Amino acid sequence: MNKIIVLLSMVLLTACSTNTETSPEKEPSRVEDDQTMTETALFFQSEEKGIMIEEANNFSFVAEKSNTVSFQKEDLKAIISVLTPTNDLTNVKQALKDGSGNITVIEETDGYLAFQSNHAEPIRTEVYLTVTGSHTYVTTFMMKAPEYEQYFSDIEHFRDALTFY
Amino acid sequence: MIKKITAVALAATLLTIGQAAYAEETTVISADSELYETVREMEEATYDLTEDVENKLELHEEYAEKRLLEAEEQLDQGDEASAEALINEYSEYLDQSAALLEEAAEEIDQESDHATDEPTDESTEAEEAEETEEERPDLEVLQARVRAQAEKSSANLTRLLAREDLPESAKAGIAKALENKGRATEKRLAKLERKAAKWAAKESVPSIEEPEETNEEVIDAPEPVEDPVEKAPEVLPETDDVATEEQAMARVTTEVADPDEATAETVKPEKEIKSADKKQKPNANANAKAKEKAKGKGKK
Repeated sequence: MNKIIVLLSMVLLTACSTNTETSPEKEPSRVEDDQTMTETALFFQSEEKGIMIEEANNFSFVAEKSNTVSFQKEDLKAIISVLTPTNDLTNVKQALKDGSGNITVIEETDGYLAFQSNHAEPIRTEVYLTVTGSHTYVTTFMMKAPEYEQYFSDIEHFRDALTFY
Repeated sequence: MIKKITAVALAATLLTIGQAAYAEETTVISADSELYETVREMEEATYDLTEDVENKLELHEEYAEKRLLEAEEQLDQGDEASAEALINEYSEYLDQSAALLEEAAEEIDQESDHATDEPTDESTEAEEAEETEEERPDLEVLQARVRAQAEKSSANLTRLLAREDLPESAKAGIAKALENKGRATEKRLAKLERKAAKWAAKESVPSIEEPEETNEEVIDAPEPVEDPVEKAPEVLPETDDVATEEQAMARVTTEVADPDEATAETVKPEKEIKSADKKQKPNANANAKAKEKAKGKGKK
């Protein structure tokens, strides 16, 4: 009789132990944590385009097209364009100016272009050019001109989180 | 009235200059360019960030014109399919512009209804009267824009239609667009004219009340007037004619220009000063103190 009680107790203890190890409450939590970590660590990635954005910084993904990916945070728009590699950035900047119509250039250096549209509601455009071995990247930020100062830090944060590979 | 005419003239001039300048400056990049998709994304972003309906309309017209230039370039390069797609986009922009024009006209109509329906005190009435003068030109600018857009579109479409290398399907589409464009323009202009008439009717209401205010002002302000300007009322008959009053004031001022009689300027009939001030055209030669006094009363 004692043997039976001991045996039943051991079976019960073993069952409880197994149940604890495979607790269905714990498992999803770990998966959620993993997902959260992945999302936090990598907001956007496109192997084809060679773009990786580590943190969202409150930006949201808008659309991915054949050679552009666009994001938005409130009234700040971000467009990443992937072009074939070229060292002639002057032509790229000129094409952007031509395509933007009636504008006033605010500042222009080798890898940077800032201009403002001459519309009744002027839009400010900030263009950063990056050349890698495989591509030329054009990162464009657009906002209402009076809101440029307001979004300056957001542009910096987005650029810091952005990697071309 | 002068302000209104100036505003209309200025708006019309800016519109004309703007269109002329834009026609000269319109540049496009080829639809084959690697950056074409980027430029189109930028156009979309600009449109999204623009809030005012009229400004959105301006962008639509600008983009429509660019699509047409791009289509012509594609035809030059022998890419008929791409040209046809761009021509279709051009037509879509025209349709959207028509819808936006309607929306802009509706907005003005609603604003005018709001301005005339609500009972207000004197200060807000004055403010709204000023707003009315500012808003009024919008309809005329819209009418001018409709005509300009129609002429420009028709000229562009006719030029495109004349091209021998235009695909047959695109030709049919353009011919139909030309027909529809004419009818739609007539309808839009008729609607805008009705709105303009409605505006004119609403504006005529406050003008009837103006003489009453002037009379009240004159009755409230009878003050003793000393010699020699006592004669002024004979020279300055009480009338609503601003020009007559001011001319008379100028004559009185000239009469007292003698240094010995200079003090007479300080005792100008307040009635005259107030009247001149009310019309916001103070006499440059009037004594500053008298002006301040008159302004103070005028504000009341």
